[in-house]
Amino acid sequence: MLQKEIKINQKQWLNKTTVLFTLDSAELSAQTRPGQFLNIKADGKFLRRPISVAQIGTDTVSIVFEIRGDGTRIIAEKNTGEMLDILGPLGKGFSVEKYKKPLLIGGGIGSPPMLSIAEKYGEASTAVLGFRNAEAVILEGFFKNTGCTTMICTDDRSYGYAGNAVFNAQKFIGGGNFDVIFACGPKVMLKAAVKLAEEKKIPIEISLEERMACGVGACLGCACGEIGDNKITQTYLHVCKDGPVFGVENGQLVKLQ
Amino acid sequence: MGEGKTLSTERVFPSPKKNMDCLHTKFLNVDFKNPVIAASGTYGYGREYENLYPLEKLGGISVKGTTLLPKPGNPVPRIAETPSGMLNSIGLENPGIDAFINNELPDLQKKDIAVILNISGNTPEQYGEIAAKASLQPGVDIIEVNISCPNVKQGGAAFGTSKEAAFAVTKAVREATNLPVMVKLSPNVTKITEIAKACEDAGADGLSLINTLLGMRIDVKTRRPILANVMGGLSGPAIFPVAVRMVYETARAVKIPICGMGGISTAEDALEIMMAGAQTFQIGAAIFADAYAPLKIAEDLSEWCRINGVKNISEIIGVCK
Ligand SMILES: Cc1cc2nc3c(=O)[nH]c(=O)nc-3n(C[C@H](O)[C@H](O)[C@H](O)COP(=O)(O)OP(=O)(O)OC[C@H]3O[C@@H](n4cnc5c(N)ncnc54)[C@H](O)[C@@H]3O)c2cc1C
Ligand SMILES: Cc1cc2nc3c(=O)[nH]c(=O)nc-3n(C[C@H](O)[C@H](O)[C@H](O)COP(=O)(O)O)c2cc1C
Ligand code: FES
Repeated sequence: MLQKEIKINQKQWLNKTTVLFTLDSAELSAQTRPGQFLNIKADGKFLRRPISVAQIGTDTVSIVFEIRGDGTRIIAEKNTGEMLDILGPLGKGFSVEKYKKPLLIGGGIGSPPMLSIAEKYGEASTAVLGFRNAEAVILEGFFKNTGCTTMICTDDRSYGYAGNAVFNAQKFIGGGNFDVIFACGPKVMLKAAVKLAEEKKIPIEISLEERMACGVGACLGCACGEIGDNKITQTYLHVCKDGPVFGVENGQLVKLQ
Repeated sequence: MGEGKTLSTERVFPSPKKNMDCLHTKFLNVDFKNPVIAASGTYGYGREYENLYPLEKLGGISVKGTTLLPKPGNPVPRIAETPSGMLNSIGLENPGIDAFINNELPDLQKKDIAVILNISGNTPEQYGEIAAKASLQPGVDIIEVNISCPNVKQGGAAFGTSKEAAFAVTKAVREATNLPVMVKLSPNVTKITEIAKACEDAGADGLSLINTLLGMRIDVKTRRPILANVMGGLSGPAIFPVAVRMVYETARAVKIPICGMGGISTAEDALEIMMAGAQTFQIGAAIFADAYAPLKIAEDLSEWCRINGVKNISEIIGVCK
């Protein structure tokens, strides 16, 4: 873990509201695993903003984020050559060492963390990425470049396959011989993905979000519980430290090794 | 961050070893290598930030508020950002006093740092029981009695806002332990000096203040409160002037020493709170913005002493008349 100002090497707008930053730090990339996140300072804002890692290079780490409010807008206004104050890498990542043939399910801005997994597995991975519409589609070329079999789908049928990511994953999961599902996206999507994994008896790991203050496990702000029902039952699991990636067994979140 | 100005800016951490003897403080008869203490609830049990620097760089740590039995805490969202600060409604999530003693205290005890056990309860008897348990074995240096947590419906709030209840809790803890007892005051009162005096009369060795100010935020899109608990405690630079004022008032109303806190994020803030009358101080929310804040503050304070010919930081306690 480090807290440091790191240079933005490259900035790329992926659509009107989504930006990719490549950050220049061998020190950071050496420590970072797929699924981990950075807690990023937005100038003038008190709390840092948690953003997942999207790519892990030999001496770079990249992030992809959408402008949601003030904080992400302020960060997005930074330019190439400017410094970004980061705390990270934080949390536990996906168990990429444990499995051989993953199915990646990404929903909207939940897709970027899947890219770092696709980079690891290349052709052994398959990604199903769902977006609202054609304009919201991001990173298709990036995924394809890794060798990952990539299927894009849109809710409004304006691009790629019709329907959401889990619906499409369901259609061909049988032929895939997948030994794990890695998923990141909105809660409804994650619930559907968990259901799919249970039906197919495949292990699943999901990445969760919660409002954070410290990002390291010190403030207990980001408690989380079961994914199975609508009510979040309280447990002593915390998204920033025990997650953000969790396993799911019998509808219960479990901390990964 | 906030209004605070840093005294010096660019630094590399961990910084080279510097002589910081000028920061040595005795507070409630306990040695502090510096007056910088991590505030309860913002630093866990000191493990997390050890990924960045050793806990022993701080003078002390006040651990997460501890109750008799484990507490799961409030539903999420528990955090909301505010201008120059934040609201929290953690709801005193903690594993209970027995788990603290068995799992956390042994490691903390080994460290060269003052350990402050922050306790919370629903009745004076519960406070007393926790204090008694903590006194049975070595490790805890000071008990900090949270009579002010505004989060818990049946918890601290009531005690901290009435002088009778504050007296009763302080007395129960006083009678249960020989450890130094420091009562942590709530700012959500009309006259903080009245409560402070009641605690002093009941046998408190010291006071710490301020806890968070009760606040609320609404999400205009959903037209609902942001926090699941509706209201929460405000902390961070936004509350700093309130803290300075309350420390100043309280220091003039009681004879027992004060640990100041509330929005401190720079050495200059720390100097202010000490000049207002605090002997030591705690840093909370500022750590979320800058994990190195406690170290920078300690370093800048010692530099300030050097530049200003101050032999020991205690010379400035309460100098503001
Ligand atoms: C572990 C983790 C990884 C994430 N990874 C990504 C990513 O890779 N790309 C991306 O675009 N977004 C990601 N997010 C969501 C991102 O953190 C929020 O969109 C962002 O914090 C919003 O900040 P804001 O100031 O723009 O919005 P505001 O609504 O103005 O923010 C107000 C406060 O609420 C918090 N907040 C608001 N929405 C969220 C949210 N969804 N999750 C957590 N906190 C929130 C903010 O951090 C801030 O403290 C991630 C969240 C988490 C917890
Ligand atoms: C996330 C969080 C959790 C807290 N938990 C506790 C607690 O368990 N017990 C307590 O006495 N105070 C608790 N506090 C209050 C702080 O210890 C401190 O009094 C307050 O935040 C003001 O200081 P600050 O502005 O430097 O944070 C908590 C504060 C925060 C932000
Ligand atoms: S954000 Fe502080 S514990 Fe997770």
